[in-house]
Amino acid sequence: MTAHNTKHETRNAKRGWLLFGLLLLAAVSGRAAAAAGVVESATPRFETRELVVDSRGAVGLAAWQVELKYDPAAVAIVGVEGGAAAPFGPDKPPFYDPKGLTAGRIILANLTTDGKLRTGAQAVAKLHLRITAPGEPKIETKVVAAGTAAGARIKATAEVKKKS
Amino acid sequence: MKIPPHILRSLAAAVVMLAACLWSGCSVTPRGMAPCTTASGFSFSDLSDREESSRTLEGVPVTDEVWVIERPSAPHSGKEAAARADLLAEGKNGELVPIPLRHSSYEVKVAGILAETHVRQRYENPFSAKIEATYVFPLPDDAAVTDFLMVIGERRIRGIIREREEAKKIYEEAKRQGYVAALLTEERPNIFTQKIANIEPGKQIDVEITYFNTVKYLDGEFELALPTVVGPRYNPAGTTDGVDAMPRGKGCKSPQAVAVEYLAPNERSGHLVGIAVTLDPQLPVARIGSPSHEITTEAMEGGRTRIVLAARETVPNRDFILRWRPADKPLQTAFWTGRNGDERAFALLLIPPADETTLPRQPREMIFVVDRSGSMDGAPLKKVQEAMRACLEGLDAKDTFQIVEFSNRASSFGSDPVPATAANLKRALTYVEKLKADGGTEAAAGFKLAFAIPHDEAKLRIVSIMTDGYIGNEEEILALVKSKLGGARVFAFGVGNSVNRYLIEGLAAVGHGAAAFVGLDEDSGTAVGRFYRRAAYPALTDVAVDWGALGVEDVFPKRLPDLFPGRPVLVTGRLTSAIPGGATISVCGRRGGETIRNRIAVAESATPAPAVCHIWARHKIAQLLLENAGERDGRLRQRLAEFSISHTVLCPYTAFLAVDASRVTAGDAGYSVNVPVPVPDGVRYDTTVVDPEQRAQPANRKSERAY
Repeated sequence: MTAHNTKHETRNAKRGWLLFGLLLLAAVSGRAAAAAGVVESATPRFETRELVVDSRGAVGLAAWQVELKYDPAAVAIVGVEGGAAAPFGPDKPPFYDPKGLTAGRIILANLTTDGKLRTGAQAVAKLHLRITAPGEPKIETKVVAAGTAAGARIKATAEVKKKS
Repeated sequence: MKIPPHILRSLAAAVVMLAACLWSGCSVTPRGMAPCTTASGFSFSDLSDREESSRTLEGVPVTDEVWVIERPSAPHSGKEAAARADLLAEGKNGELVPIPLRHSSYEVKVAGILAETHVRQRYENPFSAKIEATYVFPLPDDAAVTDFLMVIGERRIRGIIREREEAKKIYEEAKRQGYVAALLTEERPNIFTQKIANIEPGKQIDVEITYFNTVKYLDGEFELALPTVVGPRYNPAGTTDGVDAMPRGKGCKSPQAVAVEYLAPNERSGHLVGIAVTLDPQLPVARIGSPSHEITTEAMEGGRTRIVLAARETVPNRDFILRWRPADKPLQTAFWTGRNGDERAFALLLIPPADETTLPRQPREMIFVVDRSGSMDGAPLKKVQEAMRACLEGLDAKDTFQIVEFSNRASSFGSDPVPATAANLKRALTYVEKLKADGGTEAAAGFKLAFAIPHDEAKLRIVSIMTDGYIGNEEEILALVKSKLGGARVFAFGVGNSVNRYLIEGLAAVGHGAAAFVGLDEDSGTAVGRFYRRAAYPALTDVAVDWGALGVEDVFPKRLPDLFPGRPVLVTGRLTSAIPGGATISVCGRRGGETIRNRIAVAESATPAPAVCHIWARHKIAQLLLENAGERDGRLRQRLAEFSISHTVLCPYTAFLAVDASRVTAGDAGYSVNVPVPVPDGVRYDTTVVDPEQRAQPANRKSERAY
């Protein structure tokens, strides 16, 4: 009876210390990871990105339509705001077509009747994002249409970038 | 007793392991998840490393919910105690109660029968700590909510429509991380919840909601109705997804999914409502007026009129009603088309003849169902009694009738329908005059009893309910009526200044009948008398539309109701192709013993409004919800959510979400504050709003049931 008890005690104590050791190891590695700034992929973060449309030619951009594609498991758009300055400033949020939203596709569009149009690269929208994957989210852009106040098509490119 | 050493050693190991867990940041609550909040509002997971928080939160009463920003080792502001004092500010003797909702404004543009409304709610934090504001508010039950903006200063962030649970999850994450976020959800087709997280002290945030609906055309008059307050609802025992009526500050104690907090009679808030309508009636108008509010009108260019409240602002305690009557002959059946991107839709307003005297009269079997619950006490019950008098006096000798009344339970004037003889009518009038309002709103009991009354097949059975509709179990009632209806028609009559129009309109829809409303300042005898007289003259039964060469699909309502004089029916559908030139449609039906066929020329509208597409989408959602009342499975919810997202029209399974991800707000913790509202004009607080503590006491059973 006594021999059995002693054996049982030793086995329990060994198990306890083994568990403790494993947990301590996990705890230390957790601390180290946190100190190194490693972001847990399960912790979502909220960030903004600018949608920049670069239109060429002498005539300013009056209307644009851009398709965005992204991995919906890694990033979600949680709000859209106007860009940095007039005519597509922060008080002029773009409109969106939600068809395909659940599959990671959204079409943003806006137009202005403001007379002061701009050419070249301009931030036309600010995207409010919830990012669940580590690192920079990949968002593909495609200009569906870009036009002048007269309705003429103009050549343009678009990209999503961090505000510099 | 001696503890064996092996147990001591195991315990020691466990204590050391727990310490290690705490040291490494591991807690009972996993990272990224909400801290577990107890009924008292304390967050266990945060107490260990937030001693100051726990001290300042000590005085928080059990009714408040406190949330803590998820930010490692952030300095604590220590302002919570002061904030508490603000939140507990009592309004006595009509004193202002500080609430985070300062102002609401409604800007309505009416063009023909289409209305586009922009609602702007201004939230301002009057407290000294961050808050999350929650406001439960009404919109018309046919409102197609299509756009949502969060406005912070000059910045306007457009919200994105998402599946509801996903949107809620993201909102909670943003709230916990300290971002300003706004979430709009639909609780009922006419009840919505607006939440805004992380409003900093003294800061202001606006939300703008856009919706489309149609104005009603009833008895030769157009009517625009804007509800401004949700009436206090009664929820039968066992209900958990109802809409509760709670005293201010007690909302979080509600067992229901949604709780509306009400200001006590001696309290008021500074929340006022402004309403402005730009009316383009698209036909000459003889008269514009409002039975609910004093208005001023101003003629504008192009036959339009600008209507505003004479007092500019008003307390939101009654529906705003605007009516206008065409100057010329009554409106004829009308057809509109709309276009939104690639989508094309139509709206058809079927208008029956207005003069019932030309129609054959059908003997009726009237079953009146009268709500005499606590919320009907006073003016509403008086209106019902007035209306009942008019109805009974309007019965023909060939008609039969019966009266059912309900509050906590249902009872009836007699067991079978009785002939409308002078003696029976006299006895019935005495019965109605003696009704007293008290107790709960067990509408199911009332309808069950009404449908159990034996039916004479030779007569048209009309079940007519008179109520304010203040119940939280609308779905159950609609499903019940749908299952018991048989060949009967339901005529629903809403009484009061802030009626639950979703229930009233829903009953009329599932009951293939019609709905009518009367405010407490209106003459119910005349309105109801006319309504029920007309119920005896169906202008067209077995109605069907032959669409001819028109390519249509998803036409709603799927089964067209009988047409009664003065009660037009709106039919909407999707156009699958352009309308060919010279196209006609035929409206067919039976009138008396003969078959009637009306041919109507249809064409594309000169300016196809996107609003028609939004309204069609909303009707499709409403039809699916009504068809499946009480039995919505996951597949249907998924289908509705997908449709709602792809058409950007809110439904109960989606939400609009906006997060300002550009900045984390200051402060570590916040309080959830519900916006309390006044009880609607004509409704008594003491018979409708019950303290949760009182509900639990058997001695207060009467108050528990009083709604």
